[in-house]
Amino acid sequence: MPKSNSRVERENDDVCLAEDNVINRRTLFSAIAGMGVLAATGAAVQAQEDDGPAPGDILVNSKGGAVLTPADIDPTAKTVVIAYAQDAAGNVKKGNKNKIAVVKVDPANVGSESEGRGADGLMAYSAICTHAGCEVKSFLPDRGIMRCPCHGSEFDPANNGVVEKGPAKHRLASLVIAVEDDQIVIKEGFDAEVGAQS
Amino acid sequence: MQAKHLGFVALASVLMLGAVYAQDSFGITDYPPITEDQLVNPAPGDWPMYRRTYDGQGYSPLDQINKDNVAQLVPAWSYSTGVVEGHESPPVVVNGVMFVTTPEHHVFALNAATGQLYWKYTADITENTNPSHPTNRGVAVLGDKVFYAAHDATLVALDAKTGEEVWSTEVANVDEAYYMTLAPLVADGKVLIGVSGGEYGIRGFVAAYDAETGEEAWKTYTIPAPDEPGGDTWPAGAYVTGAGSTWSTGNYDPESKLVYWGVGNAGPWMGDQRPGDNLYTASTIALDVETGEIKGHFQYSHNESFDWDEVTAPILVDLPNKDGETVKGLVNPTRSGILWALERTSEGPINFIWGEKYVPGDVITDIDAETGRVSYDESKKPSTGTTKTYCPSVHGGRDWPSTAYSPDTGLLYIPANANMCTELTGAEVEYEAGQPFIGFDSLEFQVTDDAEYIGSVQAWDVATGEMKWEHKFPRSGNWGPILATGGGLIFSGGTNDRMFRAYDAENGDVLWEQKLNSGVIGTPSTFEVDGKQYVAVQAGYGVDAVFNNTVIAEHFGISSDVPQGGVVWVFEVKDGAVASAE
Ligand code: FES
Repeated sequence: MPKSNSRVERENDDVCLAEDNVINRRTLFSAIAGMGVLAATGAAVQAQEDDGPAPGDILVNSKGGAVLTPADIDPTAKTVVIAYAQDAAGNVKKGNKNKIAVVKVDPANVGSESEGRGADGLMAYSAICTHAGCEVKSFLPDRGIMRCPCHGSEFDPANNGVVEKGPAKHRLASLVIAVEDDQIVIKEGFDAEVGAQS
Repeated sequence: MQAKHLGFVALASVLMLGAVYAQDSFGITDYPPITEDQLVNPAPGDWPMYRRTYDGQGYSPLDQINKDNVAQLVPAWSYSTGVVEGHESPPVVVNGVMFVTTPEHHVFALNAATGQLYWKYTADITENTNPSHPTNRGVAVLGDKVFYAAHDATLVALDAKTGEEVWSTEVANVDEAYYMTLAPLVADGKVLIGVSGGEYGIRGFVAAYDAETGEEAWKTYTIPAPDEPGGDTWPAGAYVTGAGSTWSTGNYDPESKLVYWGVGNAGPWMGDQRPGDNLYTASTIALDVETGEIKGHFQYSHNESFDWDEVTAPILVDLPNKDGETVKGLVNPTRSGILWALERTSEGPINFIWGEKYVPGDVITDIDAETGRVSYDESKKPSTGTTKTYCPSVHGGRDWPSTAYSPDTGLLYIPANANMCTELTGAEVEYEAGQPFIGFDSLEFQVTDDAEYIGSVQAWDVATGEMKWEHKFPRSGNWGPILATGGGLIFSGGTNDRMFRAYDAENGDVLWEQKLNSGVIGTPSTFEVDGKQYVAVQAGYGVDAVFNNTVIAEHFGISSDVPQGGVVWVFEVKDGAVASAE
């Protein structure tokens, strides 16, 4: 497969000649053709991703499947709790992209972006690192920060999962959750793209 | 989502239109084709491949810059690459042209003496490429072509004079998370590559392509199928996702026509999920360059469970065997913290000579004197459902940064890291194409409580197996590949203080140092144009060095902030200074 959209650029020498700046027409047309292809791909990706955690689902532990209660989330633990969403019919939505990291932060630290998205400091995010897809499992209780063990990206769960430190460039998608009958209930699904993004 | 893509593409096309010039009045006019002989015996002033020579020594005989005048080394020119992240590739120099690669899929061709850009190639990379390690380790050259292993597992041949693509070949499927970061190796008219993706359940391989046409000549998996030799070292079916990545450039013996390539750790990480030795993971393999057949191997860690990814190829050097006779050898300081001396035979088999710890480690308790097979302290070996702490860490005593060997001193130079350990809780994992296939519940790096230093540069006498000197960095790791020169010097960066240093190759004294724009994890090279010697390196901190530095900085309570941004630096001793030193 030829890498047709690869580019070659050159620098003017110390003496700049006018004809150096003539645009190559063929490149113009292939660039426009490329736009249509990429736009179509974008739509296809979106359609595939529609079936994740949804409003009304409750959170269950990804290990063993027990229904999570707020007491299960220890704010001093060095790891997050990885959960899945379970729908009303009792189906558990599994697979990497459905993994949810649940943490508890100090409610006083919750920023405006995260306001109303959690429950008394309990926050739920996609557990998949936006860098290269590892699970963001570590929690640094002193700083209230989630860290990915693979290459050290850090995310701030009190501020809607923004990147504190790369290499990840994109924040973690978050869920809106509430506590009802001592269960953690999803009110809104993920608010951003889930998984590794370059 | 749709709008985001459109916006991005519109921007990209503007950039493209602004940057493509239909000009040919400048550029490379004089570029005699590079012959195979020039690769076997490079001109003293050239640096034609990853480690300059096939033996991987990273040594240049140039001696115009030497112990007497290196203190007067100053920048000759520099070039901003315009991108952040890890700049690791060596400036490859032939015919007075420098070829250098950077993250974000750029290849630059520059006038090696002046820094004038001839051309810049930017690969059109498939969108869903695995972003794990945003770096690239350089090009290979032959004839009128430059070979580049693009991140989306595509091998590309460029016209050396213009940067235009001559051919490109897809070597693996990016949807299964294969990707490439290494410099290709040109040998026997072929271009050899290896792949990354060991943490995603790939089945690693080394493959060779015809340099003229890009057609596949052979492809050899590093994980044997059940009916192949070594296939019985895996449980049924596990070989398909057994990892064994090959993401560092191999070395080559043109006499025996054997290529020595490093093979990474096994997947998933927990060895109890794949009982057996798991050949050829954590090994060096000897491949017949004509057929790709595996003719010999040496495994450093059987049933590997530590993420000790032994991908770096050993240096080819003559050394004494157990009986004191000089033989063709291999030396390799591995991630496991052991420096190995091995004998390579012209038929392929690799024999153990000795192994010595070069950094502290608590896993390997013994090395069999006959075979070199290691014994583990089982209480340190990670397994499913347990938490184990072991040293060296997953990054090992030395990660990818290259060692160097000087035939003048007989010393091997190692960029080492000590006193870092990993705490790992193993877990079950299910394979899902393109997703991490590691199998852990948590992974933490730890600095040992009594650590007095982390990084160091070590010099080992390969004849006696003794360390001659060590230069330690109390508050920094070392991620700096090493260059050795005929001027009695070694050059290396690697520390979090952004220094690039020249050391006395005999005793480790720092003879010169220069703070650069960013941390230096680039591979240094040296070359000569019009009778004048230069030293070149890329600054540009990134990738694992950054994360490692975060852990070190947290431990010692210092700032972890090392600025990013790539710059190619070229140094010289001004003409007057050379004369006065002589
Ligand atoms: S996958 Fe998380 S930091 Fe790389």
